[in-house]
Amino acid sequence: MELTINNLSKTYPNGVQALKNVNLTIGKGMFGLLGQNGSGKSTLMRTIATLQDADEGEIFLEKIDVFKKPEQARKALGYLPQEFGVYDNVSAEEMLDYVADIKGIVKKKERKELVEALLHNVNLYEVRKNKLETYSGGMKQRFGIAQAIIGNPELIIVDEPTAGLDPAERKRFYNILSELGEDAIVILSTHIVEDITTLCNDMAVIGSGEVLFRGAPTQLIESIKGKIWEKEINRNELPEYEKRFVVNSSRIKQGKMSVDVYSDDLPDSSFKAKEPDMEDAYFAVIHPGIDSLTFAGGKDA
Amino acid sequence: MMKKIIKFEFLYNFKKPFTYVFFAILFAQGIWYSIGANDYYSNNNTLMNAPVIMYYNLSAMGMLLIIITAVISAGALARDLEFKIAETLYSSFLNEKEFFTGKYFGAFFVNLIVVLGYPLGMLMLPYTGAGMPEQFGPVPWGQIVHGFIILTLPNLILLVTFSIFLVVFFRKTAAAYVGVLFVMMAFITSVALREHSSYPFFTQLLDPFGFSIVLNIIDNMSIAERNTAWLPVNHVFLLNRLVWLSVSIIMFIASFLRFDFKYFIALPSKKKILLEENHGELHTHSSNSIAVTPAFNMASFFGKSFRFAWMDFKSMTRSAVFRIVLVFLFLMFLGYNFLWTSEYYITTSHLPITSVMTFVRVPMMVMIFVMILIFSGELLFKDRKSGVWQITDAMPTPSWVFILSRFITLAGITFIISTLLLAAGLIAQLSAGFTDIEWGLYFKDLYAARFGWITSLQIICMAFFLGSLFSSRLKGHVISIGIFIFLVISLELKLIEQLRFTFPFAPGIEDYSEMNGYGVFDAALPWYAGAWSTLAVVFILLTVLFWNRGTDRTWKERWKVVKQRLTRVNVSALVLFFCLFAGFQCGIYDNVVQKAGFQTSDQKEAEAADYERKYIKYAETAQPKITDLNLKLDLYPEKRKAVYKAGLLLQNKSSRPIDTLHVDWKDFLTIKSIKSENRKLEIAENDETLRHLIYQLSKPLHPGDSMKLTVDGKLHYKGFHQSDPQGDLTFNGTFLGTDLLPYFGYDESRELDNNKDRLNQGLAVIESRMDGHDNLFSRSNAVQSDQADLLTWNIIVSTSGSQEVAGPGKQIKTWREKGRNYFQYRSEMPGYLNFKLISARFNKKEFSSGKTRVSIYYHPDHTYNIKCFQEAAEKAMLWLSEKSGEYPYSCLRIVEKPFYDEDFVTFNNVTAISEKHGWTADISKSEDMQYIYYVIVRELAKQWVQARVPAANVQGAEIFTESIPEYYALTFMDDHFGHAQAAKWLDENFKDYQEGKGEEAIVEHVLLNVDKALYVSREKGGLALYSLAQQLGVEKFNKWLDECLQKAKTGFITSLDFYRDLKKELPVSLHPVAEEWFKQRTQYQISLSHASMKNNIIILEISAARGILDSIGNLTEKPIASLLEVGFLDGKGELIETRKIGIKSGTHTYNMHSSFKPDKVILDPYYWYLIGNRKKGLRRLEF
Repeated sequence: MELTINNLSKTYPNGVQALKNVNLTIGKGMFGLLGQNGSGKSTLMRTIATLQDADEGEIFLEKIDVFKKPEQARKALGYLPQEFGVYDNVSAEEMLDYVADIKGIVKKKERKELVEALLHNVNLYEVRKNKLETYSGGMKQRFGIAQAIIGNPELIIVDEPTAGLDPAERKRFYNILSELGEDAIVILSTHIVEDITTLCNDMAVIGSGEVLFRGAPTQLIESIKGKIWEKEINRNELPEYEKRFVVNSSRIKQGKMSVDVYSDDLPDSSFKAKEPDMEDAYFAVIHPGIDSLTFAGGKDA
Repeated sequence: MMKKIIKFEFLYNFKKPFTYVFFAILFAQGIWYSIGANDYYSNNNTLMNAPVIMYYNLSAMGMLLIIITAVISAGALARDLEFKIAETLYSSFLNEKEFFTGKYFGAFFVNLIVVLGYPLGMLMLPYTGAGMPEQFGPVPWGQIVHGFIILTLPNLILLVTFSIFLVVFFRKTAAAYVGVLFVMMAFITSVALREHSSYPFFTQLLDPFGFSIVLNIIDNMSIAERNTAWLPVNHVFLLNRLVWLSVSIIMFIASFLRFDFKYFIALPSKKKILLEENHGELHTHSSNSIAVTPAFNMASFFGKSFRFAWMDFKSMTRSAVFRIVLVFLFLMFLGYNFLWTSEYYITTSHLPITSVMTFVRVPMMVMIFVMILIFSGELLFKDRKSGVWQITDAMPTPSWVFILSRFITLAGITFIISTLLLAAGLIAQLSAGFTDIEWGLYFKDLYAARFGWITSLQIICMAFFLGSLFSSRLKGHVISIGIFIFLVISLELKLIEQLRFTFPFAPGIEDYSEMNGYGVFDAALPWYAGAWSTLAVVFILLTVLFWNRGTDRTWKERWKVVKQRLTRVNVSALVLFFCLFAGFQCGIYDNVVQKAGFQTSDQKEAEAADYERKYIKYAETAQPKITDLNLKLDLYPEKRKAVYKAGLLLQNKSSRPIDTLHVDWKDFLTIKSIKSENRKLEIAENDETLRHLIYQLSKPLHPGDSMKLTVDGKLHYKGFHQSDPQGDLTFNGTFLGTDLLPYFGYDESRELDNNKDRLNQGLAVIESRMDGHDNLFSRSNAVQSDQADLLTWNIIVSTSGSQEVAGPGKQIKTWREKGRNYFQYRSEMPGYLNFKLISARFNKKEFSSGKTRVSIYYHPDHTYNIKCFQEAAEKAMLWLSEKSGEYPYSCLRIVEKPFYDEDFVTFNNVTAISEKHGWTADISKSEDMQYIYYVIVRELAKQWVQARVPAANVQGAEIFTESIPEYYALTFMDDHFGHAQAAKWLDENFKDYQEGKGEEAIVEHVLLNVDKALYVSREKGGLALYSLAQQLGVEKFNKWLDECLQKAKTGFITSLDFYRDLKKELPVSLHPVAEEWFKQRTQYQISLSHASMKNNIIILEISAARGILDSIGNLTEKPIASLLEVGFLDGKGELIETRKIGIKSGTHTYNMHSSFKPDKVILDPYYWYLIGNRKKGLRRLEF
């Protein structure tokens, strides 16, 4: 099973080009889509999930043209959006039963068994009779993932699933997400770097609607090895350093400011080499001053 | 802070295009309502921009204004919750009370500006071409501002406060929408009860907008006052404003105190439980192993629709708001059935017959449909509103499944509402011990397509379509409600006259007859139901086609998606149902327009105007009169057909030879042939369009000569009409008149008698509906008919085997032949050509009263009050015989008729009374029992008068046909029920007179010259004769009246003759009184401001004024110098003594000695004067 995206473009009526000629081919497993807020991730997710049209391009789920046969695509699809609403006055059990029915599980007995199993899986069985509107954010996300996997979909899209979760909840979510990737194409859209490093062996970085990098996370990190240099500076020196160097990122550590600079060579003796991590690689990819083509993998052919 | 919030509300709202749309809608409403208000005042002398029109509109507010106010007001606070901005916003504000007040006033001022569109529209009416320039006067700025301040402004405060109050307490916009619907219901109820309520004070207080009070005030205004006056503010009005303003203040205070940030943004308590986290691990494997078989076939989709519908149904019915709405509706229905229905429906209170129970839906259905439209929009957009669409739209169930499921849910909800109506009706009936339940009628009215459940389903489809088309819940609400209300008002104002253009209305909704059911409208119903149902299916198909799945799209993107959805199946379905709809429309057009000859008001008026223009020159052309009629008539009620052969003997009663015969005939009548025995008739002119034919006689008919004519004719109604029940020939209750025969001459009754219409058609205005006394032509005709003076007849009429015919004259014989019933009637003595033949399924009650054989023909189901009718007839016959000699005929028939056309028709031997007058009254209430006596006496008295008095067809003729019978009825009530009871009927006469004045389309003529104006002839005329009788002495008056009526044996007499005789009988001291009643429009204002007794002296402070009005109501005050009767009542309200005092204009104190201590004092107890507001003339004595 493969998801193929060809030359996908989308411009909103206000002129914002959310997607620019996106090309991706994604196979089974956990695929991470990393990008900042407003980069086009959710637009891409909604388009694949048949909720949005594109101006140009095609999407194929195996041989199914997602634009021309959305109803076919939806049969193989599970979708956890970034934000979703719930009905008031409806319990988790009732809602899951409803969703299962919508997904085509028309036999009451099958739905009952499935819903029960799902609720156990996501640890909501004890509270299944409670109204969804009383659920905390984490519980709601667990409900969300439960509804997304009804019907064993072949393509699962999760859009920012861990945003807003506390660290413990996030860790538990990683377990469930990693299990999903064993049997299906799972696209994880996120701006949290840790999600990618923890879960994904394949990824793309999207920025301003374009795919800036496509490849394994390790590849991305490798491509900036030896090119990140760090130094402690005073806060008020930052503007000057930004003028003189390509500042990849800056951070405060124990009250002191530190800058990471991108350069093929040591900028000057005051800098020391830094072992880059995913975050550094991500910042380097999206940095406007760094040519994304320098990264190994680059855009998908 | 508050100013900032108000400013923000302004900026926010006035940046939205919809605010301007609202303004435009209200502007249109201002124009629209002004046209409607103007139609309410049919008199052409009322200016189109008269102050009265302004007051009328400013108090009515209008349904659209009410809804718009709710939308804007509710949005002010609810927006913060709905857009989830409350939490961030509220943490920025220091003072929550200031915040609330800012929001309140922000909403109020925005509403105020938007609502200004309404009076602006009213002001713009002169520029819309809606009337001629001369129909407009100067802009009544003062009255507009006055009306806006005392009416619109307090009403707006109420609506805004109520909306905000509901949002504060329920924290939902929907609560505000539902709340204002209840305000509208209170308003509609109050207006509906206005005329007949037993508790007028309370019903006027109940009116939140003061509209019914304004109507009461302006209805009593003269034309002159309507064009110039400021609204006089009476105590009821002030109290109404005070009550509702207080309600607004209380609601404001309650909301103010209740509102705080924490409360407002908190989840309701049952939602506040934050559940404990379960910290176990999460897996997917075990659920993956559950074997499932997804199904995506049609059967599974339909199954889903029903399951989802059940889920939504449970969810809706669990909602507190919904339950409150249902309870409230149920109470309203019960209230109507127990307290109000009959007040709205007919003249007496009613037994709880089924048709009255189901009628409840009619005044309330507009509100209920608006509610259904709102529910529909809310449910359709449930997923969008809650955000669930983000997951469900990505799932493999087609959109139509959800749409169908929501439709099914709403079908269930509306079924409940219809069943509530049923339950309310059954409870009202059974609790009154009434078991005569018509289940078929319940089913037909509450569940079918005449404002029943089927209509609700059609409405739902429209709401779905509009919501889907505009892809917006709010736009869907506004547009669907706007369109619906536009259609309702357009029908009322006759902007649209053909029901086939007004989804989802069907004919006959208000025209149920106990005798005839829905009559011909039942034939129409399947066509209309078919048309609207197929259109509803088209709406649903379009809903699916246009439904926006996924994120919002532009119109261009949506159109792309729509084109993709145009599969062969979809297109075929659309085409099929649209063709079916078109087919039904064609059928309706064929039946209504082609076969039944429907005409719009303009078309009818144009035809009448053309007729007048072309043929009025023959208005006084001498024509022969019928002296004998030999009629053989076959009625086919089930086919709505009548075939006849008539032998007419015509005589030239003029002084000139007649050489042309003008023949007019009614619509749908086919004159197959007219033959003369001894003359050739050559057609000189045949105008089929205007239905007028002129024959040239081969030899003239000289004065005194007669000729025989044989006429073959057929009346046959085809197709079905949308508004005219065509009651003269119908399935049960045919009421066929002598217009079945050709009309010889120029038919004046075809002229337009409304001056507004005449002006629109370019005709001159008329001063009167009848010719003056000096018109010799009309003086030589009988008021009953100018086709014959007195004639004899022999009628053989047949009808279907299940029906009987009641006719004029003596019933010679009846027989049955080939399954049909035959009846022969012959005149006992010459009579007038004003009779009817009534065919229906009847039961009969027969008895004798003196020498007269009396038969009561009644609808078989209406057995309730026959005994009362019998007793009333017996007593009336006895009493009238004492006053006016023996009943002129050997037999009397009292016949129940369908309510169509006139309520009371009396002719030789027969009195026909509408089914809505007494037959199903609740005579356990004495005044309703009395009503039966009252109408029987009045109508029987007409038979006496008609038999004796040949009244000329000129002004004043109704003194004989209406005033005298009315006088007899009032006097009978005095004799039989006591003066205290009779006084209620006298007051009713005055009230009806005042109302009639308000509705006068030409001018109010004095009684002597009354011209087909019942409010003058019957109401005022009855009071006039009563007053004179009281002052002269009743016995003396009755004796004189009897002799006067006996005298008129030859020729035609007029009101002048009567008045001359009257004056001869009256002492000179009463001549001014007679003149006031007959020759002037005099009105008195006499009130008692103080009544006390001390040392055996009764001291009365009386204010008196007398005014004489001209024909359009300009008042001239005249001094009073006359006697006034003062009555003294005991503790039981019985009159113990009367005294006469001389009174003067102004306020004066009058003393009189009294040896006893009365409880109360009453001025003018015997109704000598026409006094406005008699209640002010009654006071308890202070000691």
